[in-house]
Amino acid sequence: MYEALFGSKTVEKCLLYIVNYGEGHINGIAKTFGLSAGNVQRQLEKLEAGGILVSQFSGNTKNFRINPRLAIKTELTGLLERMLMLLPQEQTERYFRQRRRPRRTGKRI
Amino acid sequence: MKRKRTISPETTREQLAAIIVDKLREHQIEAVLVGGAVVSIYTNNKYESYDLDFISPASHDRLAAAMAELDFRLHGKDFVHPHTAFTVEFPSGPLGIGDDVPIAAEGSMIVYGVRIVMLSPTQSVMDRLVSFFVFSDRQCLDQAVWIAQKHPVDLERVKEWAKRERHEEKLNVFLNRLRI
Repeated sequence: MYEALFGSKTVEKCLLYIVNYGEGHINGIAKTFGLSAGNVQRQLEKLEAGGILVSQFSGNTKNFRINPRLAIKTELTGLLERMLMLLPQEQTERYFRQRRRPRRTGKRI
Repeated sequence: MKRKRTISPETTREQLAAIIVDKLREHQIEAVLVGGAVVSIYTNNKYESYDLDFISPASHDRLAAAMAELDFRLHGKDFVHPHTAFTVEFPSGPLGIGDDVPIAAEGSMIVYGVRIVMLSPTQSVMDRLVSFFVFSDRQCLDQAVWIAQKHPVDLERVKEWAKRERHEEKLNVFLNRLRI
């Protein structure tokens, strides 16, 4: 919707995903939106090189999140939160409501 | 004479909670209803949970003995019943919300003449927000919003608590959702 602002739909989706879930990794973002992992990787690395994101390995997985030292972090996350709030309900449910809280092992679903 | 309540597929979450609390009291066991079941009750099932989680100081053996009298049997950590899809669990206590441990439950409802002690709407909002703060779980954020839209919630208390938890930034996401 605001891809003109972010330069590409993929960048917009990556940023929305990361703000929504607190962090994101290449395959998780790619799978959620049906994007190619290579495309997502390129955009995340570009955002990291630009200081917008930082990354950290957890095991073999590289997790990206908004750079906590970014001078406009509050404004950027505020803008993205506003965009998340204004998304159509169908998109919110489809892409941005994956369960993140833990479920006990063996719990019947 | 006390009427015996039977558990059937038509038994609602609230009715089942009352039957269980009543049975536990027969065994001098107190228990507090927490978690998703409380959200279901406060949101009129906008969020539907099939788990009934009770926090109780009683030993597992005493709880299992009381539950067996209602025909619940243990399946892993859940108590299951042949005639209801609801499952019951007794997570270990004490009752707490974030770093506020222990706390006393401030909510209650009466079903079948049985007083069910549970989290209040304000406590339930904070309980859901813990998962949003810690795990960025937006399902729980939605649930907190739905509760606050349906029930009076002490937002000043929620703000003070979120400050203690050092999650004021994420609390603003919740407060902004309420402003829409």
